[in-house]
Amino acid sequence: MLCSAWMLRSSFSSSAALALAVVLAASAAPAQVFTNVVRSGSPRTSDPGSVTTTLTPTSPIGLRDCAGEVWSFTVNFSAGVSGTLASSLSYYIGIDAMSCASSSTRYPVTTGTAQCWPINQSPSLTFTNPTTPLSYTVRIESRWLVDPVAGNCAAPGTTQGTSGTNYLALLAFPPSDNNVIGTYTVTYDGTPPQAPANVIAAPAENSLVVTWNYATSISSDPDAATTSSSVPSDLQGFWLLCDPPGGLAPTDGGTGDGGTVDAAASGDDPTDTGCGASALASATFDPNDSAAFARYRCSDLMGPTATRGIAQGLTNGQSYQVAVVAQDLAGNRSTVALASRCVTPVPVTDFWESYRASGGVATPGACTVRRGRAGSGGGAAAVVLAAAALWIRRRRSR
Amino acid sequence: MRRWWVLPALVCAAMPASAGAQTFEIFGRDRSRSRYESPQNFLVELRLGPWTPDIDAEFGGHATPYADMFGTDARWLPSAEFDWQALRINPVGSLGLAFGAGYTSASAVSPITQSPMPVAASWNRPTDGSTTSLSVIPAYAALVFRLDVLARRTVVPIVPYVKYGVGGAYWWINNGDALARRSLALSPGARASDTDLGQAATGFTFGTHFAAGVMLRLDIFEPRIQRSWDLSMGVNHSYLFAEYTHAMLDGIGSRPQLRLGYETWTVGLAMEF
Repeated sequence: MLCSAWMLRSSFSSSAALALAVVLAASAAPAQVFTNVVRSGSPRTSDPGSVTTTLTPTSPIGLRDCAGEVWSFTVNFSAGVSGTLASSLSYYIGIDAMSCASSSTRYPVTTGTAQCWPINQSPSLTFTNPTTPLSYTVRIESRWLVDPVAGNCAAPGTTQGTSGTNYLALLAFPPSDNNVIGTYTVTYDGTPPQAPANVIAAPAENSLVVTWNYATSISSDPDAATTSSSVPSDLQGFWLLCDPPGGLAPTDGGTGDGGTVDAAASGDDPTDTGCGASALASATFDPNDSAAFARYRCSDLMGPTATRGIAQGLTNGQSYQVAVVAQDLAGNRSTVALASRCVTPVPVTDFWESYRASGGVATPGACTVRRGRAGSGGGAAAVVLAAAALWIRRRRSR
Repeated sequence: MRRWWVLPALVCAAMPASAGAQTFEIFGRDRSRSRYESPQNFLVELRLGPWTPDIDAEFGGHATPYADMFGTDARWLPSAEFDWQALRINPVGSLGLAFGAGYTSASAVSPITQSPMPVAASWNRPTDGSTTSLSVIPAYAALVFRLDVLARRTVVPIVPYVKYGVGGAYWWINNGDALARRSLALSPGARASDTDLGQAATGFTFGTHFAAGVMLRLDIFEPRIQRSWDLSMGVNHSYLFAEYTHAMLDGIGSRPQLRLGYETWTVGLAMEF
């Protein structure tokens, strides 16, 4: 049995090429397979509106990706050294790089537990009687890369849990063993990051200033919550959510519902601790529901070290419930962290407004000097400087 | 007639002269210099001093919007200056061109708008929230005369100096993270006839710049170290200095400008090279 490793060529990033680095070939298997991998749906299709995050071929599959993203794999296939072609090509998912290389661990197994399964996606991903030269593209939904048997993102039953690494293997038949001709590493992160804490909102003009804390450690589990002051390695950033969403008329059932009763001129009424009726406070609100998230979003994505943000597009006099949501690199969003109380955006007086309201007459823009009114001091200085410069230039030119 | 081009024109006129600059000497050769001393053409200053703008002076005591918003404590103004010691007037001193600039800002949490505007003490100002800030980049171009005959010819390591020229300050005011803009609906006292409605609050104030100070030549404390610096880096002399500065940035006859003049004491470190 001849086993040989093949270097794969990718027209994409070098990281994608590295991910494709393991190729084993059996003597009867085709000798050469060049595989390009494109993750379609980039930018992420489940991102809201104009705010998108970009997926790369090495991006981990998150909860939202699992449900909707589709990966494309392009295979360029040539005849083996012996000139023998396989009768069929099939895609499998293994829990490690080698688990699909042996029939003893590949489903169905006669003894023990399977560690490699054929992908159950319909229609079948098996390609029969290939001829050379061959180039074809297969589209695989993310959920089958996570759970090849049931395609269940919420409870992947055949893999290593809610987060981990699977190996997509392209198998050629016959023979029945050591016939893996290409693998691709698939990382799945189904664990949302922890939610921020100590969210405080303060009034501003048509906006709210929101601050929060986020303290976790960089550990082997990037989503782990600890009391360290570091941010986790896979944290992508934070979003702000506002209820009522921008542009919607306020509900008004009384104090605490975010309606006009709450919109007292106080701006930040300490007695207003309601907001219990806010959709953001509901146990059924899921930030990973793209539609709901897009409805309540009131900020752009802020970086992983941010602890302060501005909720924008709000209406003065309208009371809002604000929440902060953390998002990891896989696109998973944490549960919402609600501000301690409703806050109402109010007009504020900035220094320019204060200056002008006090009777200040300066106006913005560059200076202009009126004819004949230039101050003698400034004029004299200008003449002296210009004369000095010209004299020096003349001296140098001699 | 618009004369906004005066300052840029002066800078442009001076730049070619200072490029590859050397020092010209009049009234003979400088005999105080050691034959081993490296050429000396320039001086650089690193400066720090308190800063309080004259904005409230515009109101003649009737209002104090700057103090109301930002308080009466002075802000720090770090700055730097580059001199071309263009002319050596032997044996008394040097006449040169100085270009300096700094940066400072003041910020405070914006008070909630109340109508009519209350006095500052009764403003409803949240403990946290949107901030407003005034940021200023003051700069100047001046002639500088340094009377260094004492330090060169005697044991008194003192160099008095005086500067006079044109100054200016680029300024901008923020409301939160964005430039402040007045609006008819939200700005107290705004009228439809106001020409600045919707304009970003940023501009440039022009004026004059005067300064006088005293430098203490540090060579006397460690002359060997200073000679070593000269040999290795070309630094002829180093100084500690204290300076009185009066920047009269009020527009000098232009249309009304934000009065950003200031009067302050500055200390710093200077090196001639």
